Amino acid sequence: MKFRFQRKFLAIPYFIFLILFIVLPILFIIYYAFTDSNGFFTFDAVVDFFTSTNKLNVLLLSLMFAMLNTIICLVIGYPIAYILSNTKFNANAVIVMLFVMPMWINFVLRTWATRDVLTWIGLDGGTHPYLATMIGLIYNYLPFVILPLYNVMLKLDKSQIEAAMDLGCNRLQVFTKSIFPQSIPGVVSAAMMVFMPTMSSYVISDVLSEGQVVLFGNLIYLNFSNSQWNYGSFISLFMLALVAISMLISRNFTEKSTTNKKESSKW
Amino acid sequence: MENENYIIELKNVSKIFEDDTVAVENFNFYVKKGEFVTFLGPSGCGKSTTLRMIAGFDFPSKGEILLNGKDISLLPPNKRPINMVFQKYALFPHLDVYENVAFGLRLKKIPVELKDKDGNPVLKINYKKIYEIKSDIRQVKRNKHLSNEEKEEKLTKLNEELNKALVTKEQAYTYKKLSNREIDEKVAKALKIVDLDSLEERDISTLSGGQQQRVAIARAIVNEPEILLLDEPLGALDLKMRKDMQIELKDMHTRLGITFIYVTHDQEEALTMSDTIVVMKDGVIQQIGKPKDIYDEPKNAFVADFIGESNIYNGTMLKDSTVRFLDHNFKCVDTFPLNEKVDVVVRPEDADITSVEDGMIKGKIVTKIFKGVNYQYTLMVGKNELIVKSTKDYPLDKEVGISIEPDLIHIMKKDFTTNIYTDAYINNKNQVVIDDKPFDCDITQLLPNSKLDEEGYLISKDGKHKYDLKDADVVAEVGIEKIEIVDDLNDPKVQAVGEIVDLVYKGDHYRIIVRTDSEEDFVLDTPYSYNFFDKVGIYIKPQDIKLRLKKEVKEYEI
Repeated sequence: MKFRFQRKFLAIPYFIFLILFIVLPILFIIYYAFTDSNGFFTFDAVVDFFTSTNKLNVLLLSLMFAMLNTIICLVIGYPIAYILSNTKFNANAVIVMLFVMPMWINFVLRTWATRDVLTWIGLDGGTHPYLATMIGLIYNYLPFVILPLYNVMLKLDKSQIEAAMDLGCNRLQVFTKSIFPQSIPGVVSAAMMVFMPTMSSYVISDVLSEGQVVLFGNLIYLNFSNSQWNYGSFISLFMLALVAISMLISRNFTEKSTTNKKESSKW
Repeated sequence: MENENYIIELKNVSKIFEDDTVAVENFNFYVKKGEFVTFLGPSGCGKSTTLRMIAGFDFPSKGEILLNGKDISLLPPNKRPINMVFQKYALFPHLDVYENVAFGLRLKKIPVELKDKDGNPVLKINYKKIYEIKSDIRQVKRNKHLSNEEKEEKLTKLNEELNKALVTKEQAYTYKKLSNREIDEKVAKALKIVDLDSLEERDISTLSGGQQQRVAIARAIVNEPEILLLDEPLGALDLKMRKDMQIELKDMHTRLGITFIYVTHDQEEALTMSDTIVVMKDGVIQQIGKPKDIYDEPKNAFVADFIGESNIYNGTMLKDSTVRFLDHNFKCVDTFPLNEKVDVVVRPEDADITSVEDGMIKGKIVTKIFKGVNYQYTLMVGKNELIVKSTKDYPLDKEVGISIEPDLIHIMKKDFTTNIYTDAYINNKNQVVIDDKPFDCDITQLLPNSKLDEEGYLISKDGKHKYDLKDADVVAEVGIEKIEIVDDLNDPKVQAVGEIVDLVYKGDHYRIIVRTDSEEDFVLDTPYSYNFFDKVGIYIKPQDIKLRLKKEVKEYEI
């Protein structure tokens, strides 16, 4: 039989990749999460996780850190993105580049540098573990907030601001009634980019708090490095479930608020 | 002069932008209550800036804007009882049709007189007013376009007001919002006016352009403004829709009784809808009048050319009521001094095609276009073109006679600051052809911030659009002080050659008219003396030729 090249063959390399590096690992994680060290089916890991105050505390702490980080990043990033979207202040997007540039440096290096700077100004992780971790998280995730917000705001029609004023808005109302509602898709995608990665981050908390702050990511790492593969796998699976849930929530949110601006969250 | 009928008055209003470009110069204009006024002019003539000053998005650098006799020049837009329909609608995409229309109503606060227990009005010092006067004072102090005397005058007036406000007690008000039921009623009424009553719940993005347009109008009129501003609202609609909307807008204006101020570059739109048209050019009013007056009696060649199609010729007054143009002496009804150089305008529908014997002049039909109700012919009369509209069918290349009634020949004082060439066009070397002679010019001026690529196409600012301007009809303008006279006819820079046919000594310089073989005139000033009938060369620097496209630039997009 003669071989005929078909377009769908182009998908084969990606398919192999998908199976080897995404589907199989997830199956492995599921397998390990519900078996014991001898390979027998068990709910041990589930029970252990939900009965250990230690682990639940880590979950709570991670959620707190993630929430706080998201809020602070949005509070700092939103005005910056708004100002940058005004071409008067940001000709040729040079200043946006400045904000994004740190992302090009390996973030482990960046984190170690942050630690040195913090120690130098007297905020070393030994004495202020929570503060140091928080500062490190904000510094790392701020660009992820600014970029999507900046993209949404670039697309805002300036004449809508004038229209809002024309219809009776004062400066504050222009923001609350016109600019902010329209930038919600950007806010949601920015929050997404900060919230889940913060929960699972472990280098930042590990380095900056000198091991004193244990986040969800650290917990997973600790379990695996102590050869507790089954516990570690279940926590990973739980993490994966959290990511899926938050994605679903945010997708509903953006779809409801605007249907036509969906593309704007891609960047 | 104070007149209570005027709803809005613009007094000596000028707008100078930060980069010192003058957008509007010394604008004086009054609008009567309930009038439909149109600002008409080519793009960049300052019509939109004027509208924005009335709306409050821009503040005048000089002069005053009075609303019902009260100065509102520095009032922010949200405090003015004026609403605007934007060029691209500027609807809020996060709200549905109903909420878009209700937007202004939800913000509205109705003042209610504050009364004490016994029903006596409560008097208080008006701190809000004091705050507003103080911010006005700051604005005046910062304005660098005012002379010191003007500033002084304004500041004393404001300070007086401030001192008065600081001591007088005024009726105090509380404010209440409109109830949901009131809003419901008003929105329903507004949507009914624009024929959209069934679409309340729809998302903005699912509406067609025409529907969005109607929402934008409903959103503005629902607030019952004293003046409705419309900034080229029909520009984005297709022709058929535009015509329908024109009629509807006019109808709406009659029904609502609101004053409409409309901005457009489309002369037909202006003629169809307006009670009064203001023709603008380069920030200066050219003519104000009723549509018919502007069409029939244009004040200068620019207005004549911009409003409707026109044949414009250089003419000379021979004696009272006789003017010479197209190599013929025509009877006319206007009186001008003897030998005065004038612009002569003949509307295409005002010239009659007759048999060769009956005509005043002879011409040959070179083109013929069927326009539905009539034919449009281009006739060559000597070396000049004459456009004529006629319902009769004549064959091409036929020799015909042409006669023009005396009262249909419009004679205007020549605007002797610029030479205007209305039948110029761009050739394939991006030169402008005036009178069959190519002149180097800068065609990037036809589109702001554009540039030329290496193949000679015009590229827009964002690089997305490309235009081929070959054979594009343009109006070329050259200031009389910009034309150089060259004595040596063999000089390579000579662009056109002509004879001096007129020469007037103006105190310190001569004003010369150089007429080429094909009867095009170049008017110029020179300090040197020449003789009648000297043959001279003409040179114009590329940057001194101002161009304006006759059609929209997008028609040349490739």
